[in-house]
Amino acid sequence: MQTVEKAEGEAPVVPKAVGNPLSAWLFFRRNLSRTAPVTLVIVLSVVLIGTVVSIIRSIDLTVLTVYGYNRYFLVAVPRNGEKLPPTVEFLIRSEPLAHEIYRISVCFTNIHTIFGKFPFVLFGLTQDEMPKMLRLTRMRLVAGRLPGEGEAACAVSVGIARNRNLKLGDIVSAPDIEDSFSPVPIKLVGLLDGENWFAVVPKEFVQKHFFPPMEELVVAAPSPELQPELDKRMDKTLDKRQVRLFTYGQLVRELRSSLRNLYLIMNIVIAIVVLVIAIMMGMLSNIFFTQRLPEFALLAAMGYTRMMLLGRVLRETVLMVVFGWVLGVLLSMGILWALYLWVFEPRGLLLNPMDWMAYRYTIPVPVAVLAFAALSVGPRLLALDPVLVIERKV
Amino acid sequence: MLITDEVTLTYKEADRVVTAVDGVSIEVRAGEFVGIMGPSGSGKSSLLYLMSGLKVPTSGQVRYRNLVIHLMSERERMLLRRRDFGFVFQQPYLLPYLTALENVLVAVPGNREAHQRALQLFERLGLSHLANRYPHKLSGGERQRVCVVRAMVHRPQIIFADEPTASLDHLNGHAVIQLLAQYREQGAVVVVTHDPEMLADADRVYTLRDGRLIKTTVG
Repeated sequence: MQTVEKAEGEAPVVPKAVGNPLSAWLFFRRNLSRTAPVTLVIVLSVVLIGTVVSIIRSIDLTVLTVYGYNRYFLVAVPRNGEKLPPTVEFLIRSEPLAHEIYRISVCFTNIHTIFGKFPFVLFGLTQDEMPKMLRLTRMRLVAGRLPGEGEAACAVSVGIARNRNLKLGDIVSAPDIEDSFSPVPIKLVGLLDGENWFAVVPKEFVQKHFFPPMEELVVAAPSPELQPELDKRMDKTLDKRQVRLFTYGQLVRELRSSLRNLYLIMNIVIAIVVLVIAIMMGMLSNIFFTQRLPEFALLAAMGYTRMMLLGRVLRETVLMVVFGWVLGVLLSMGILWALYLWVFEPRGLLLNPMDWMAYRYTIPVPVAVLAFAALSVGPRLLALDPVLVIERKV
Repeated sequence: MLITDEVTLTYKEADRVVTAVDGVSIEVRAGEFVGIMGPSGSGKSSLLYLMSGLKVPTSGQVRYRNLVIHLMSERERMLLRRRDFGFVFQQPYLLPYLTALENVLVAVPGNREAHQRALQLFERLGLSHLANRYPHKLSGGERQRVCVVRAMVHRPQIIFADEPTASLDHLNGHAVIQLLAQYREQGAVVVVTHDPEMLADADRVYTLRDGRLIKTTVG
């Protein structure tokens, strides 16, 4: 049998300061057994989506960085011979925006990417042109030297050297390297650094050892801002049967086009993950709501309107999903930074742990969870009859 | 203050129509301790729900300060319940994640004045030592007394108590009734019970049977 409890003899208790007892934060803190698992699911789904999208988007990043030099110039390549027809060259040279023009020859070496090996251009330049092209592409020599005239040597970006695990004096291309072939071994004599990846080799060497000895034109606008306009004009003016143009805009378009299916698959996977998580959260919200029915019935009986109660549920859910999302994004950044520092960077692979576009893909997670929770709980709350709950008929 | 005028409440159960309250007219005056008595199923709880605006009568009307409650919008009824009425239910339900004091303040969140008043009530009712305790650390009697404080903290005009002693032992039941009876100094109290002993102090007792008012006793 119960007895009336007495306060006598007990030490006086100083009541703690009380804020709003119905605040979402207080509910979140005091119900960790419910809120923590839900938050954790949101965190994990955000981490899953954020990291996968960041890694997939590193393909984009890789291509745009590796070929980023194309922002500063276009390359006009002959289609039907070793040199551009004089009429084509005349049209290029007559273009007012064509500020700098270099006649170059190229050869290739391979670099590693997360989607396999990728050809990278070694720009064959004369001794005069090398410093000019480095200035144009905002690169600088940071170690070693530039290759001498006709020398079987090259200078490459630090990124390429790291990617290929090369150091000064190593061989970049050689007759016995299947995927980076050169009839004569090319030695690494200089390291470049800057905004892009770039590589130079003496033009005389390329023309002497690579067949056919093609000549291409590098055409640069007075400033990078004007380069897209120059690209557009050249694209309009020149006969594509005689010349092929490599521009940054075209590179981006082709990249987007070739990755379209990959992004489609990624979007489908994200949609499925979001849907599954949202349905699961909706069901969990329903279970939690059933457990809290007496609480809502009591508040309704005391005079809290349905909208006030719905607002409270939404505030609690918003807090939970926002908290989960922020935590998920921070955790993703941590994981991606760790991946970048310990896996990608040492191998010269590109990854941007702060890729906000990737984190935008995670926004549907909190939004869908909130929507499903509101849709599953809202109608029940609006139809709640407090008397039925109080009388224990529900 | 509050008058029920020939109120009737019917509802459908399976294929038959059940009349829970049948043309009951009663009155609650300011400062009164009113009891509603009757055996189980006599309609006393339904009458309390009608009086407090938790249910809408099938016919008749409930007037509070000359306002017909069921003609008010739902929002107005909610506001009325929140401001003018206090509730104590049979089950002493407290939000499990809030302390006793916080549970009391649920009736008036964010009101500093009410905070002080709650502390005074706890002190006056000898419950100060329970203020920081969570419901699972309270006995049934303590919980119900906290519920009584919660019903009082916003100084309602009327406190409605539906079988407040039903889940308590005799001693705790009496303590709760005493707390409620004391509230007469500030407002009216309506207590539904099947135990006549709990209404020994009542100013007026209405007895129901089968949904009908069969007896009115003025104390």
